[in-house]
Amino acid sequence: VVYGLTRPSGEAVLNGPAPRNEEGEPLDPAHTWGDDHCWWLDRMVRSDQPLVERMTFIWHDWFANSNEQVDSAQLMLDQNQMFREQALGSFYDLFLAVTSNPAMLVFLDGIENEKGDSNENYAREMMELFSLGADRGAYTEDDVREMGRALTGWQAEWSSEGGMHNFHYDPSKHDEGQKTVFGQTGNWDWEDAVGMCVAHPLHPSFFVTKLWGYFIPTQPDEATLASLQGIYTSSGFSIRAVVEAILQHPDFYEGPELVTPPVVYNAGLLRAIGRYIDTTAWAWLSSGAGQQLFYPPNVSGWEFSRWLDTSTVRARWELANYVVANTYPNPWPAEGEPEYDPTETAAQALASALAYWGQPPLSSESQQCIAQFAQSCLPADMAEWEQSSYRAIRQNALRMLIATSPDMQVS
Amino acid sequence: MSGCSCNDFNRAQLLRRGVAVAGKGLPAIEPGMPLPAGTGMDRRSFLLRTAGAVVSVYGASMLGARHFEEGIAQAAAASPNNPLQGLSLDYSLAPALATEKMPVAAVSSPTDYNMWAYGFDEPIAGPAMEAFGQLGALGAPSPAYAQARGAAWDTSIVLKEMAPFVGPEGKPTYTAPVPYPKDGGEFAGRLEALAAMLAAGLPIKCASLTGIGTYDTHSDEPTTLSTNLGQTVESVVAFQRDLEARKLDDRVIVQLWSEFGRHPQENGSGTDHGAAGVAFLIGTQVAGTMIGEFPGLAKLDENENLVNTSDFRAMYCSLLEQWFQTEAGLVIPEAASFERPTLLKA
Repeated sequence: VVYGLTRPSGEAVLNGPAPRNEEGEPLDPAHTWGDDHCWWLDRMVRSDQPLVERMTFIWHDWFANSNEQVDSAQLMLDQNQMFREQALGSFYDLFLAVTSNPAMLVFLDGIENEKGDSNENYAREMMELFSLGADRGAYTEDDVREMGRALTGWQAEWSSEGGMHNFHYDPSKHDEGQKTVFGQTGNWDWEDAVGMCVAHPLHPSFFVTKLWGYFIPTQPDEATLASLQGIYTSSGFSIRAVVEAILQHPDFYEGPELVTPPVVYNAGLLRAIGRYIDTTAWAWLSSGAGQQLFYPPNVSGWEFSRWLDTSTVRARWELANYVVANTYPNPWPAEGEPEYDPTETAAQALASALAYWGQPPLSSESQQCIAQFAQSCLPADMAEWEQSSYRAIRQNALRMLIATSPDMQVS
Repeated sequence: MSGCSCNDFNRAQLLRRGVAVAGKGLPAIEPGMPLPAGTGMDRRSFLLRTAGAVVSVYGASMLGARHFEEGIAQAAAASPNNPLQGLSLDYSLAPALATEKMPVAAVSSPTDYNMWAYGFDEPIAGPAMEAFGQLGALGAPSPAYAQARGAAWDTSIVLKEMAPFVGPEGKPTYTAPVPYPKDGGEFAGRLEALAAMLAAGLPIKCASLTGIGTYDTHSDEPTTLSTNLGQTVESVVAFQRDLEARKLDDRVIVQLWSEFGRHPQENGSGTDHGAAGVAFLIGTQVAGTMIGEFPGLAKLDENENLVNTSDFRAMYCSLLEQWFQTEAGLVIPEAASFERPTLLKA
């Protein structure tokens, strides 16, 4: 089962109709606000390579760039495609691609970093957030400075029509002097910079621990950590090898849950009812719930341990309500429209609502609580006309209670 | 992109400097560093490029005296069952109010904080929302469940507390005794609602709001600043008059702050990032004196920025001790090293 996810062959197949906006028009992710979000959400819903999308999502958070600063949806989409292509390959190759990626060069000032006028922004983050971690004794402030010098040379041009373009490496802007990084002296360049980070003795432990954290909320034990590091280094920095080991680890199946990110929650609800992207409302709805794709809050990505508060819970309710919007039974049907079954029992109602969402696994205590509601919510003395209407309302309430239940926010 | 020098002062730098500062005592002012105007208590608070207001209410209810685990809201005596004790009138929780365990709330608009759904109505909706809350009270077998169920439970409480303020089509159910500025947008509306909520006795201890407009004035500063600051201040003045009319003024103080200062030398039509900033305390209980002194433009620091003459953390220490009667050291690292300016009337 795991290898089916981690070793997809060929191009992903997108099953189902192409994404559309409310007017039925194709999306324009490079130019229309929110279409970029919905374009990717569509891939999460339709791709037959879901783990590739999940890994792309992880890299978007790991190397978090926001279009707020990059200011070019096309550069963000190009970066997204790069993440997808390298999603399960070698972390060294991915890190090289990220370091020379135009969106990243804009976001962390790579193109502002020149010989004699070094900008250390990327140098610091490539060690602190991307490969080694802060406060582990992996690098010094001198290393940051020297690494900044090694990374010099990337340039781009700007025009009012084309924005940032012509990203290129200009050897004349590169600092050709000797730099000392991690105690090694040489005329290092950007590729050396990536290589030295990946070869650093504290990199494998950082990498496997951070990757583990996207799947499992508890720390790996010492033996697991050692084993994962061994897999990582002996496989030549293979992301796939580490992911396969994590996905087969007992902690992944038996350990505690994680709170589901808003976009994953959204994709899950759509998949559950077989709905495809037919509105771009998901962009603002997901934003309200705390996550708009291509707009992480800062370079360290989203705060995965803090998705839910009284505002974002309400936003998830709103989102779930949009999901059911085309398929809810109308309690007050017009003349000639079918009316809801006026004899449905509480047990039938709950079974029907669970079937609507594709039999999601609810905890027994939650299911009991919802069953209790189904049993007791109808007034004792309903008039003839209320028998059907109130049962339709009960069905709608059950669907919303299931979709917004705490159980559905964790996985 | 480009043209804006935000490019050389982006969020990554803010973030790392925020981290560098948060736990390491008295900071030195680095180039373009937003010190010391912000709260500085949380790395994320450095990421907001806006002005904010914090409204502190003392003695709003008779809740037990436990402390928030972190954040300025720690000042208030916290309760495990009162999410309104720390309230962000915003789309998400303000970093300064983020707590580890104690419940806090975020409400973007009190007048439409409801949970509507298609084909959903009484007499079923009431019991359904009861069940929604009960699903949040079923225990916490894991931290993820604790968060999901806790937030559901808090949401059900806030729904009930907000219900009296939610009118048809999001229209307010209350009338302010004083006029609020018509161009004050969401900010004025939220302050107006807050005064009504305080008057109704909701157990709010500390509320946070984001002021009008943005303040990263690299260009067009004279217009932007006077418009945004003008509307923000007019709204705060209306709020103060509202509190006075409702006789709540002795129980509330407003702290108005901006995250970071600007470079004294203009760049053409605006100013780039600088250092040192100001904060205002407003209220009938406030001493009304200036703390620190204007450093003047004659002597700037090595980056040609204003010299700060008083550490912002001293203000928070005083607020905690003098207003909330809470030991500052529980909230602010190295609190003992800061002065305690007198902020309140004797």
